[in-house]
Amino acid sequence: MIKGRKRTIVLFLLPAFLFIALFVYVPIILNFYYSMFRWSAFSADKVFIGMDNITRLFQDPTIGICIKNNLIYAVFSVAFQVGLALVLAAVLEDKLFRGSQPFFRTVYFLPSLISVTVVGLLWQMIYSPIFGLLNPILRMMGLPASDWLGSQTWAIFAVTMVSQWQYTGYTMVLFIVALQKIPEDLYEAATIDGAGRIQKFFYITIPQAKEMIIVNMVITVIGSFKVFDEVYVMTSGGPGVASQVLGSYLYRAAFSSDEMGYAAAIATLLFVITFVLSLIQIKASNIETE
Amino acid sequence: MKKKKSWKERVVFGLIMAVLIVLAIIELVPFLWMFMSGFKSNAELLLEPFKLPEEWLASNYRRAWTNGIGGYLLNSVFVTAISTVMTLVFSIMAAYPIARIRFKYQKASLMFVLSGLMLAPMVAMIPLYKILIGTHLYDTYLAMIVPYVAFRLPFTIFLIWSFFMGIPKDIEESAIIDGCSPVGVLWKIFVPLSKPIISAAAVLAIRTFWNELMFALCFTQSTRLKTVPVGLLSLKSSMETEWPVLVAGLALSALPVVIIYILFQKQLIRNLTAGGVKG
Repeated sequence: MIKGRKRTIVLFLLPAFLFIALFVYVPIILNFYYSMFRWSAFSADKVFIGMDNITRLFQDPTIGICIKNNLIYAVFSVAFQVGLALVLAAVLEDKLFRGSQPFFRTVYFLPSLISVTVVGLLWQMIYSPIFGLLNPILRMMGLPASDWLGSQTWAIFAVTMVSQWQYTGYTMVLFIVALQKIPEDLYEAATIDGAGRIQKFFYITIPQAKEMIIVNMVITVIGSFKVFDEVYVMTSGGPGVASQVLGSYLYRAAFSSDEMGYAAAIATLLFVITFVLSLIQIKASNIETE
Repeated sequence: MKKKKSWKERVVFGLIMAVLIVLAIIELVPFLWMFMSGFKSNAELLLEPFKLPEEWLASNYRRAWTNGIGGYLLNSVFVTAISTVMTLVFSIMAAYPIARIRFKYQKASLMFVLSGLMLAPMVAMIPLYKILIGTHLYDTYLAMIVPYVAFRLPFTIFLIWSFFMGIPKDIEESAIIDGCSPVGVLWKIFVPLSKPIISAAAVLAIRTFWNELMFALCFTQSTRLKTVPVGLLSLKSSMETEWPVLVAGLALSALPVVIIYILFQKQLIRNLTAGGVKG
């Protein structure tokens, strides 16, 4: 049929496969190897220490804080970027609000386009106890003000909320696209049966968009474990280690403490977590195709 | 079947509308504050966070620009453009045989690509750092471009592959009978037919590269290479307490994106949601 087929196939696949093999797979395999040594970026000698870096993970209290913070991130992200986003999508798809949908969609979607660095630095200023915008507003409403990013208690929540501010509108639009595929007659039939809006949401919208909801939920959780930019830009994991997440702690171990081997071990932990979650995602996507 | 709205329905409608409007204000105010504060003096920013500037100072924007934003933007454009073109070309090439030519390792090839989707970039960070230093690519444009492309390929190939799978077989068969080579079939038939998905893949890739921070932070050092995200962090440390200049820098970096969004909103949203999931 097609002449010189073998050569054509190889030539077509080669550039992409070389890139993926050399710069995705090889480094990730090397990472396991590196995690078995004690070594620093600026000296050539590596000391083989076997599983010591891995066992250190389980004794390091900061790792516990990181995982707790990643989980806080995950819970908030699922609540906002899946829960609230879905409700907003359903509201804006309702006949009553469809007229104003383009306006709200445009506004809610905007922050997701701006880089996390810009958004993070901007919110760092908004949170600032010196000249920030947030504290005066809270005081006006009679609520307590605080040094949000400088507080042991609040820093991680303050960082998390910025992500919700940035991405809820984005997933909302994804849900709007999904909801538009639900056949209209399902809703019409339910109306004839006397179902109200809330009933329709629970008995039609959610079951019809179930796969999409599950897949987005898993992706959001995976994203919460991969988070780095937000934390690095706004708090660098501080104050102390109060808002440290696995990603920023990995960076600190590698480039501030110069413990490359231990950083590789943290990366291994991240790999295991994201890999397992990804397998769940694949399972969830399969439901969709069947 | 038109029904008059009951008063209860109206109250609910009003309440929900109010919530939607409050949310819109929460989303917009930070941006308005950013663009406005960039025109203020330091004292005004500190004392009057809500007021419009007494005097609209363009000097903050000028200083932010000359303190690096101009160069950072150029670097970002350069790195983003090269990475995007490479990603698209390699992805289109790879997606074609996997989707349309039957060969022994077809399924294995697909698995090879899809497995790449599950791997988080930060897991590769330390070995990549080592590799880039070893190959003397560290602290060059390629130290960003090469890992960007590599980590973007699996998703982009996946998007294009699934679109190629849906193109009817008879179109290419008649072209092959007419003596068209595989390259010809791909370039003259598949690429034009796949414009929607290619543009979506491009927009998604551009957004990722434009915003990328972690690799740029770890794999480059020189000021002349800095892209906008890393550049802003160094602008912040060099400006110390001159907040209005930093705000102006933020505004300048966000401005191109905001303008493009206002102009091409519909196409952008369509492209950015083409994957159906957070890409």
